[in-house]
Amino acid sequence: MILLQSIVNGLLIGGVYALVAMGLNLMFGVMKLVNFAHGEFLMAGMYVAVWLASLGMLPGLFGIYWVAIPTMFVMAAVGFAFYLLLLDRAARFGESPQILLTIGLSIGAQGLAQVLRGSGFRLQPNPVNGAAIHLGGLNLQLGPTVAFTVALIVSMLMALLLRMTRFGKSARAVAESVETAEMLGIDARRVYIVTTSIAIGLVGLAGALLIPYHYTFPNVGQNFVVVAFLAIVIAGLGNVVGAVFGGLLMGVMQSLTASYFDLDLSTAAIYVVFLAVLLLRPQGLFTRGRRTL
Amino acid sequence: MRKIQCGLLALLGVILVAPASYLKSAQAADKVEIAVIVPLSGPNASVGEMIVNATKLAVEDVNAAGGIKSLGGAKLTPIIADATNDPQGAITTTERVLTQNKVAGGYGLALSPLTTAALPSFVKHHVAVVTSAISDALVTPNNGGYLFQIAPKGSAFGNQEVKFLEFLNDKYKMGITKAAILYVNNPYGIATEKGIEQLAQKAGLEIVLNSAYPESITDASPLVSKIQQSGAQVLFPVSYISDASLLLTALRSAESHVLVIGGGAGFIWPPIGQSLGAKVDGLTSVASWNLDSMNVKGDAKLEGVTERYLKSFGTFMPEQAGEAYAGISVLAAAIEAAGSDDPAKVRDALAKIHVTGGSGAMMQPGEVEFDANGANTRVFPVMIQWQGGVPRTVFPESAATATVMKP
Amino acid sequence: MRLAIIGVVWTIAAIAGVAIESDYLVSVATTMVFLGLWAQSWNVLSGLTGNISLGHSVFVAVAAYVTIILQQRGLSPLIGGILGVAAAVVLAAIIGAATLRLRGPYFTLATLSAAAVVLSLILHYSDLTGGPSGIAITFAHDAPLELEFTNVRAYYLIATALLAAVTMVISLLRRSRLGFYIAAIKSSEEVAAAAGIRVALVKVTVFCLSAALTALGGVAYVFYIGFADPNFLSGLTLSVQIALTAVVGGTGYLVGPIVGAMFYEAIDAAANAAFGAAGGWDVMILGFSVVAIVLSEPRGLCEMAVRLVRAIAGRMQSAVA
Repeated sequence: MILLQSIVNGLLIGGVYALVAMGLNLMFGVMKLVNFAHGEFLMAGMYVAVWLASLGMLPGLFGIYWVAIPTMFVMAAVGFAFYLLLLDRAARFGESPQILLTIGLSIGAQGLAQVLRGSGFRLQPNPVNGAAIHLGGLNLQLGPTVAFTVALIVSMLMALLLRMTRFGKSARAVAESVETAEMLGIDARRVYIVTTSIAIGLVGLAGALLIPYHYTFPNVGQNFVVVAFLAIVIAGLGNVVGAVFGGLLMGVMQSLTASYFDLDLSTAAIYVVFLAVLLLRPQGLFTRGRRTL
Repeated sequence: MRKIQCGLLALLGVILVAPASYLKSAQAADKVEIAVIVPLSGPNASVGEMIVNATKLAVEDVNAAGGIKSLGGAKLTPIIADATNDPQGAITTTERVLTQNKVAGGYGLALSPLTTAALPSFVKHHVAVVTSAISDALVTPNNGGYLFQIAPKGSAFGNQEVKFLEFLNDKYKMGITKAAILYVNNPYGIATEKGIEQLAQKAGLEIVLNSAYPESITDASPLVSKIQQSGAQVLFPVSYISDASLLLTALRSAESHVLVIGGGAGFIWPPIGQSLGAKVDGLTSVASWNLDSMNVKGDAKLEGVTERYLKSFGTFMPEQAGEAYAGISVLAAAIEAAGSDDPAKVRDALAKIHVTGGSGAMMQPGEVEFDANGANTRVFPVMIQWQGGVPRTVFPESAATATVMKP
Repeated sequence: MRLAIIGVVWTIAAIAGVAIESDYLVSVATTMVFLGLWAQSWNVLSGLTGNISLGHSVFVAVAAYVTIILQQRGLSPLIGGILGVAAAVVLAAIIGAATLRLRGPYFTLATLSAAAVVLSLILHYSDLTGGPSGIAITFAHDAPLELEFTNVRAYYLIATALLAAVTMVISLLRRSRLGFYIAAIKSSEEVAAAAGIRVALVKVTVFCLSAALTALGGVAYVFYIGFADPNFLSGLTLSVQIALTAVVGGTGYLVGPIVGAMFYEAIDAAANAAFGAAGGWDVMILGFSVVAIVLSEPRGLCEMAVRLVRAIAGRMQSAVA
């Protein structure tokens, strides 16, 4: 029972990691960009969501979740601006300057958040916080359960998007080889713009799903971003659907180590698992050979 | 592109020149400066903010009462600086403030690692620092003699929590014998945990779980799992803001009936009250200071201070703010007693001081006195219980102004 | 010739630093020098090979802790420091060998993870390391053999000497056989291997060299600060700072990392001084300055300066013509 509960807990928090990781992986797959500011976009999404929630909530248990869609769109717009203002120019830079750019953005954004909204910890009181679903002796915290469910749905939608739509096919082409794609008439820049917008929109959605039970504060992104990175590498960089499983795996690892070993080594465990996967199967656990998206 | 570059170079120029402009003018004769160095950026910025808010009130009160009368009514002037989130930043900031200003004393740095790192700077400049950091290791004979800990020691925290449990056990015949301790893996958590462990054993409690957890935890369900596995009847968690909330809501979702006696910090500061709303009522915790302890409630002026805090800053006066108010007031009293703004003389005055009234009496039990190592010999931690959305002092009897509800 | 220039610059810097009256400015300068030292050492690995490490703080931590722990047991840091550096080199050899086949973000995340694991271990084995409370080095009097000095200028001198030494080493490295191998590998690993270069050995050697120089700085640094804080010493923040300063200054230039460190620390200190009390502004200014610099010149401040000089020289030439 403890084992099962542990695994379930891990899957739930893993769902959150997965949602955060999806956008990150999309950006890497298509643009080969490692976005170190991803955690701060999560934070920004949380601030947007929490502000919307403070304006009012719908009646009912899930009343706070109305903020999810508007937050996602707002953050998609932010992603759009992010690309045009910053990434567009940086597209021609090498890897080091790109990483540096996002690191600088990450640091600056944390400061900006504190300047704009103060250092306080916010959580809009709502019925989801502290509620749980009891299923056959197992305990599922409501907030993470909703996030987990949405993560699964969104990943399926993303998979469909990438396989079926014109954008999806263009994105996969660009991910495979920019030169070839452009030769075939695909406007890589347009693909980049849409990709960034979707990616940041996704992490904004993740933020909206966190606010019912997790505090919002300027540095909150830092607690999630590193695990998100580990998840996407484990899954296979660029493998958007695989990123979900990567996130779930990280969550389960964290939970099992915490339950069965020393709590304070649970974060170390994630890194150790990560290193093991990296060294034994560097292309990721969930990629078949060299598939890019 | 050219514009950005020119702008950057200009910014660079200004920035490199700016520190040089700190060749300060001679100290104005009608001011006495004190340094307030606390984290104002990073994850602990909210703690720093509480302290800065209280500083404003304390300084207002000192000056309204005539300033430092033994220096001709000189106005107390705080120099507020960001200790940042790491020891390097704390040291640089402290060096800057102490080198560029003639301060009579200081208050800071709120967190034990930052205080430890910056202490040699204070010693070198012969400036006394009053601190709310609780680590026992700060008040040892080799701390240089310039540190004055106004808060209770970490071990005292833990001791008081166990005494409170015994009190509850007695009063409500709870029959609790199995205890779990979960503490955040930082000096605050460790110091408090030691105190709990020591006294729990003496009190005959069986410690069925004693574990540290990482600071940046995002999911408390493994903690709840461990608690349930251990069969504990009482939980002594020591947590900061985010983890306290995650833990309490995880316990609630698991429908756990374990009695929770919090270790301060995240369990007593305003955020937990805001996020849990009415559900916070009944939660108990230890605290360095609380706004309605006997010494405050019984004094109209001090009560007025807590009301002013609420009016000016929108929340009840939290623990760190009360301590800061007391600490700055005691510092001001020492400057007054020393009759000089020479920091070494102020330090000597602090070592001898015995505050029994006035603003310094904000710290329970209304008296402050330091021993040879800088520890506050009079203070003791109080136990609070959230009632009506505000923490009320319920233990020990000498400080309590409310009755504890059955948790 | 270049070595001589480095020597002269060092002498001037050393004298200038010691002569400054304000202890605060000397300590800012000292921090600048340590950061520059680490950025230079980092550049040996990441600038020369193109693999970005975000775990370099681990070498600072390992060396610092080994030295302090041995000092607690009576061993002078002068010897303990050597052992600390050795320990860092051993760790680097292990990490370097393990990450041989990793490239780009994979390599970066592996180094990040290594530092995180070591941090966890330091926090966990608190009986040995003092855990999250760290280890404080308190002393009231000078003890050169214990690396304990009451005057911060002593640490300034040590740091500048180390920085000068590291810069000389890098200067020599670039022209050496090893430097040639490194450049070849960076250009194309397959061709280099085909040409008979022992790629694996070179890569691990570079990693170890970079780690050793970083560790050297770590030993001196922990005595300068007087306090070993594991979250900082083995933390991501420090690793990021090191990488950031090197790239902001310009990894292609010998003095690039030094320029980067000067810039970073200057902005950090100035922003804290001017805006620290305002909560968040100092951090914001620092981060966005970095963004601005990268956008306007991705190859770093040195490149920016060079272009500016060329532009001015060009303007002057056409004015004369």
